[in-house]
Amino acid sequence: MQKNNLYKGSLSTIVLSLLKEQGKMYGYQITREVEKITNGQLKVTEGALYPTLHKLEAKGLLSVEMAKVNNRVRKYYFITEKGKKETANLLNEMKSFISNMEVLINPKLA
Amino acid sequence: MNRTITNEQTDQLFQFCRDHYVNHYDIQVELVDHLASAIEEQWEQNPDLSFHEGLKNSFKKFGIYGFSKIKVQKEKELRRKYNRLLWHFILEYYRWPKVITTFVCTLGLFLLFQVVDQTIWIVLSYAALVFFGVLGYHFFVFKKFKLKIIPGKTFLLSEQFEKVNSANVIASQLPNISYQAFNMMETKTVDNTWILLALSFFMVALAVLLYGQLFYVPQKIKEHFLEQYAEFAL
Repeated sequence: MQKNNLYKGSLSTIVLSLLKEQGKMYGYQITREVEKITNGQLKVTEGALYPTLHKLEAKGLLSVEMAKVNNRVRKYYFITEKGKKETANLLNEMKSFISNMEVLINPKLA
Repeated sequence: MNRTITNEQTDQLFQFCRDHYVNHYDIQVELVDHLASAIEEQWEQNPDLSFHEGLKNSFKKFGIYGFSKIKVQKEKELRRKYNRLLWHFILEYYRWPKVITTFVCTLGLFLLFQVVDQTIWIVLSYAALVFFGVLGYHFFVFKKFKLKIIPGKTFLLSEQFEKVNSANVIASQLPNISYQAFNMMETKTVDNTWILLALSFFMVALAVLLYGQLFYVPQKIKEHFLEQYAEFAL
């Protein structure tokens, strides 16, 4: 649980970079993919994922497409050009955060 | 071959959403697919698992708030999205090249204030124009934007049309507020150049805001609806 708390603020970055890498994806697929990539270390809860996806869609960073799969409608998300730029910014922010944390945790590296 | 969700079970999932107070199709459709995918994945490991048991396991993952947090957040994000669109629309009128139109209108109004002796008559005429304009809009124009959706379906997106109601509040209160303001000042004329400039700026900005709220935003909502849910429009 504690592990997941550390990731909480980064969910938007995680979702955006995943969609940038993998193209269009649907909600359930995103939760499973994040779990797979992180070897089960990070479990994205449904209650957190959908509000994040809806927020990114409303901001125009993600776009949606509806498709019929197994007789039901599936909503696919894909990244927009604006989303790609924002992902690059967020990843840079994350990298600088990580390097700052490394200095704090291990001052010898500084 | 792996077990998949049947049409009847998909209907049961939609009913499950309604039982959990999710009545809008645009949220239901995503939750139904999520639950169905999660159940189908459980069936890959355990094909004998009952549909209801699978549903119970999948719903547990939505946590103690269930669907409610998703629903509330989605409503909030949609509101924000169209407020943001409206705000960008207004800002466009204060950026090159549209700012020329805005500037000419503001200056024209300011000059009119210099020519007409009693400021009150320009302000009250403007308030009456807004009032009757919004009234006329509801009788003759709004139906052009209003979506006809197949009976029995509701969409959170189409509820964004209610935004135009805030224009009704402005239009209905403006004549009274303007009249009362002049009454309180106990004058019918304003001579101060800065106040007249501010008034001209405000009146033009309000006109742009109302235009955006009544024409631009409803058009965008309609476009977004037809992009995603065209099959539900009549």
